[in-house]
Amino acid sequence: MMNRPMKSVGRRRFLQGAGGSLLALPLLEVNAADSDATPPKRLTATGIFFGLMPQYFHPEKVGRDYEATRLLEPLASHREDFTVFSGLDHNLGGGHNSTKYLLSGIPVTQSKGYAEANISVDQKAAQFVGAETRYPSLVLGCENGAENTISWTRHGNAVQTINEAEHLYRMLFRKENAQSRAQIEQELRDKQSILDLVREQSKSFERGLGKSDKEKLDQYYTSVRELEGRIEQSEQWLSREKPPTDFQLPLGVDELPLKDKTPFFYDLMVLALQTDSTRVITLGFTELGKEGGGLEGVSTGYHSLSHHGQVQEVMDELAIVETFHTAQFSRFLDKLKEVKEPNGQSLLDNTMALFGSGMSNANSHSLRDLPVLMAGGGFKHGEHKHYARDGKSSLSLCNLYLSLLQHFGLEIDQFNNSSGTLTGMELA
Amino acid sequence: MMNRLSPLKSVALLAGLVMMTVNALAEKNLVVLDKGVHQFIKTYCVKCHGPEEDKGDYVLDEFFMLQGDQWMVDVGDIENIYVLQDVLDQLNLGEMPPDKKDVKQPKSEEAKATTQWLTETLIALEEGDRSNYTVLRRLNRTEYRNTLGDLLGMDGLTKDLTANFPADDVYHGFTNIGEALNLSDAHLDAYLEAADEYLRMAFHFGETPNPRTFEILPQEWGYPESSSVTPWMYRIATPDQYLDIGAGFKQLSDKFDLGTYPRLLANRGGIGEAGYYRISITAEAIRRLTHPYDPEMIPTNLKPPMQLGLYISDGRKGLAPAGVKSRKRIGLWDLKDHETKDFEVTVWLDEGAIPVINWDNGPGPSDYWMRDILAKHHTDIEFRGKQGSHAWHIIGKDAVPGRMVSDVWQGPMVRVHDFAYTGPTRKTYHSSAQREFAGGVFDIEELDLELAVKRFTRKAFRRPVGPRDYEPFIQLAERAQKEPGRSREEAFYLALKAVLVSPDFLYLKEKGDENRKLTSWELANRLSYFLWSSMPDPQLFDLAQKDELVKPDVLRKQVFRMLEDPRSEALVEGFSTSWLRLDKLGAMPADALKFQEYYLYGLEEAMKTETLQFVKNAIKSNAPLTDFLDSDYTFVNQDLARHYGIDDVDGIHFRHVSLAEGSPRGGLLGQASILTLSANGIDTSPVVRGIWVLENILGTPPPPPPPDVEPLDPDVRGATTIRERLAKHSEIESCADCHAKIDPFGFPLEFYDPVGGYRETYFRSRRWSRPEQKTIYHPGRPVDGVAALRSGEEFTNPAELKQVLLDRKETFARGLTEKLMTYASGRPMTYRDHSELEAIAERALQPERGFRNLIMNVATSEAFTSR
Repeated sequence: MMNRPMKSVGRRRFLQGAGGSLLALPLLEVNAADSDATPPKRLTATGIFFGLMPQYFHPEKVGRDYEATRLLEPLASHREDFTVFSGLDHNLGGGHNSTKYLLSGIPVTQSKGYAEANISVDQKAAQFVGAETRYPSLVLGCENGAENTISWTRHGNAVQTINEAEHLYRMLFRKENAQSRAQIEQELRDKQSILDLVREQSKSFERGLGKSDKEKLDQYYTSVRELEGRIEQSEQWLSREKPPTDFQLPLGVDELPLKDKTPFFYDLMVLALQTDSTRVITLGFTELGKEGGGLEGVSTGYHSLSHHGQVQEVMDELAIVETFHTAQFSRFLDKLKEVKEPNGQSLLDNTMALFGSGMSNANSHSLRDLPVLMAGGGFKHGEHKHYARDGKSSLSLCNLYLSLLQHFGLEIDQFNNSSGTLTGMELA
Repeated sequence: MMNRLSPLKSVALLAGLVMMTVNALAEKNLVVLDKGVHQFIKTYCVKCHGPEEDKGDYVLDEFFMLQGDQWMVDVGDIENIYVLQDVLDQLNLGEMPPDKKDVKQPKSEEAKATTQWLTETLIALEEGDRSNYTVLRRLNRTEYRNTLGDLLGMDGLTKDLTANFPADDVYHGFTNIGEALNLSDAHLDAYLEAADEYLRMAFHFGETPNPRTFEILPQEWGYPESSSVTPWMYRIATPDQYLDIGAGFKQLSDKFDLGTYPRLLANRGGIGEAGYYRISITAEAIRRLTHPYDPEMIPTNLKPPMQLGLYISDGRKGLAPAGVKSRKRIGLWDLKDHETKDFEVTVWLDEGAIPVINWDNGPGPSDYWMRDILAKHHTDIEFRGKQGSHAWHIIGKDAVPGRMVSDVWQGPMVRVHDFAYTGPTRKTYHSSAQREFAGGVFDIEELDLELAVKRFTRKAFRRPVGPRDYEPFIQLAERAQKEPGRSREEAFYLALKAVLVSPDFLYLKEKGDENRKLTSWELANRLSYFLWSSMPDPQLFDLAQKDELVKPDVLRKQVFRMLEDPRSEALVEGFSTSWLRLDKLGAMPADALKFQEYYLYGLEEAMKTETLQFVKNAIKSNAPLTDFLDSDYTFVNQDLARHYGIDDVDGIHFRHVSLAEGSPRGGLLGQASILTLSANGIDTSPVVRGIWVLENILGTPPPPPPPDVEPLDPDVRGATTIRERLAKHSEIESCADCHAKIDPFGFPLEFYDPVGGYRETYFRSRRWSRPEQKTIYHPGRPVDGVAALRSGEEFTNPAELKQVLLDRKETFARGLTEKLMTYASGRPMTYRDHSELEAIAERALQPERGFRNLIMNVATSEAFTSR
């Protein structure tokens, strides 16, 4: 009796060395007002922690003339702007624990065998963007518990989420005065000189270490190198002005219940993309927060509702929460569509906006057939695409991610457990 | 006996060392398969695990290759090693071939020869591949925090400076396994930031700051002077005199409104300048026993003194409902009745910190109980309440227009007269760093920078140091202070920060590849991180310096001393969390309506405390290991006692209680912490609890379910019971084998609800009644705890389950020993450790021996004292 590894072991690639470095790309001058330039590709992902009731999410009919389901109803006006997928998942078990792997498909406990651990699709895209934007990615959480970690680095660490809209606003728009800029510059230089020193010190530390110890110490060297790269990047961006905005965030946004707070998160996301402060954003939701999120008709906790036991009244209450999320996503698409890029396209045309959950049916903790939809990005939409199971496994959701990453500009032919690109994805 | 090998070893070997194994082995690495073993597998295994029926996804004949006339296994493919491993485990456990009438059974010599070959082959693979030493171990978050505290001599921090560290890598519950712990640029950056904060708190140079006293006047808390709309917590200010607080909580929880905080200060952004502050409060208890109301109507126990709690919130974060982790209690005092008393505490306050006060053992929010009292005693008022979107409005039958609650209320109150904070005072008030490293000077020009850096490096590196170690840091500081605009003080911090991110500080270094005895210095470190999760103290350094620690009697004395030291709380918490998975407690929120008492009384914290007290007691009193399986005592406070239905426990402190005959408590499995973390907060599952027992009590974790099997979809509408639903498992063959082992350990635990309350029936509805101080529920069908193991043992309730586990106390002791050794040495156990673990476990079960002996024997074992 033992913990038998999953069947996927054979598919793991034990590549030596690290993959694409975080900062492999040179700095480029970005001028958002340059109308000749092709707008950059963006990627966003919204992750819901407690699943989305499959019977209310997935349409029955496949193809263009599918009937809008209860959860898709709020997205009706965008029917031609998104594709809803069924049949895709990560072939995982593990209940709540695995919903964190929506964007990666690999549990952190199994990530050691992969060259880039359990890197999530957003962080993979962020690596590609590198220093071209002020923030390679923004990882956000709105009413976010400790469990909500959908973004993972190539070292197998969950990225810490930004949970306050006010903080996000400051990151995007607050201008540093000369004094604080000088102080930050000094701090960055200090870090740089410390790193120079400890890299030298490590060489004497390494003496006498065993073989496995040396391999561990390699991580230290890599970390020093990568942090130095990040510091350089910060220095470059420090001297550039943040974009101007006339958007004012009202005071006390972060004290608002979920219902009133969520739109501000999405609005700031649109602004961040529009100003090219970043091209990659994730937004996670785990809790309802105070007052049932301020959602009328919700009488108990989100987790409790998700264990609905097939009782209709409870499912109806859960549907209030879930349709709230699809409605907010629909509103996000409205906003993306309203923003015009310098070349006349809409921001949505250049933004691949994912929405979904790492769990399908929370009542059974099922991780099969994940509820996922994707809008915008220049793909042909308006369809319900279904991918049939092959024997004991589902088609990997990573195939979709591979398609998106390629469209984003990455020249890769595999992403985590993908078996290829997703068939049927066409550009508009 | 081979068949007593613990399966955890194989798990350790496999899960932990996958990368090692693969890195070290060539692409193709063929091992000649013993002819007898080949024959054995062909004869007894392939019928089911072969091309015809690939049970458990195993096609055993496919992984042999014929080369010439020899059968080979490619051990360069990790999956084949897993297969060998699994075959060995199944044979050792006697699980395979299954005991069925049409399955051919091997003779015992045949089985023995096969297991012997497999064992030897796997050990050889393991040894050829890597030594079973502890891989270079990074300090984890707890260790970092404790080490910085000891290094700088700081305590009483109100803020966790490691809160932004990436989460530590968890290996089967352990967060201190060298092999598993990773380091990334995010870690380094977080270390740099934290080191900066620590150093600025520990040192202070320059003029003694000129502390000022700031007062928060009663009206500045931001509560009304008279209330037409009653705040959820009923707070009324009498300007320039006092603030009354008429409601409160035992523990500030994340589900309800919070304590009382000064709105004015909060709106100004909290404390203006970081530093140590003295906070003084003058307060009293009003009408605790002299209020005119029916005491039954006030849902708290007013017999003990009323208590005032003082908290510090990290900016506004700790004021938000979910901000539990961003506030910390720094004071708790009993109030005198109608007699003011002064309370004082000196703490570090960050810029932006906001103090919060609370009636810590008060009744809950003032909404309904206050309403009931008003309806009975004060029918002459109009009453309006409001909290967010919830609002209520009552007009008393004799209402006098304009008369409000605050005009008539005569309930008990916490009355705060004065609240002041003075500071910042000299920042090193609570740190010994200034004295120890800087020679006690406060004038930076007088600082012997070279000496200070040297001393600091020595202590931080936890070993003897030479000029090569510290000179680069001194040079760094000297270069920096020559830069224009850099102060000497900044240059000094720069050097110390560099020390704190150097590998000598961040890692526990043990040299070499060979399996040798640890040196006294290495042992001092290993020992202090085992027992204290922190750096060695001067006494350990001294013994290391004299090279005495390697002497067994000296080592034993140190273990005794260290276990007596309060720092050994770190072992209690660290090991209990890893072993029992207490980290999972509260990970999934309990239903706030059904289990309101869970939030109302802070039961989660109380549950955890019970288990920690239990483990702590086991060390202190050297309790027999079997106490973990069943005991006639436990540790409760009044809230947990109420939860357990134990009478006559007053007060929020924990105490030892003897359990009545037939009590469903006692042992780990009687503890609400374990029963809650093995449920999901909403309902219970014999499967989840059964797995917990197998993993943590018996040390034999079952394999995960095949990934293609869909979990059960609970349907609570029909008449199906959990047993009927689980019966599906026995119908599906791929499920049946494992569930026959798992489920029986879970069924008797169905007598405990999702938060560990005892129940004899399921409930159709359930709620906590505050006036009655008990759970009101509509019973459903009776709990059915009947379970039977394949061995034929049958049991029906928790008590009988405990007996079954006591009958397996050897298995339990082996599992516990293995977990403790893993925690102690920071590495997974392997086949090579097997005999020593076995011997230690056996000794620990002898009469008069107990848990402290086990810790001692682990600390003095070969495995622990060797590389």
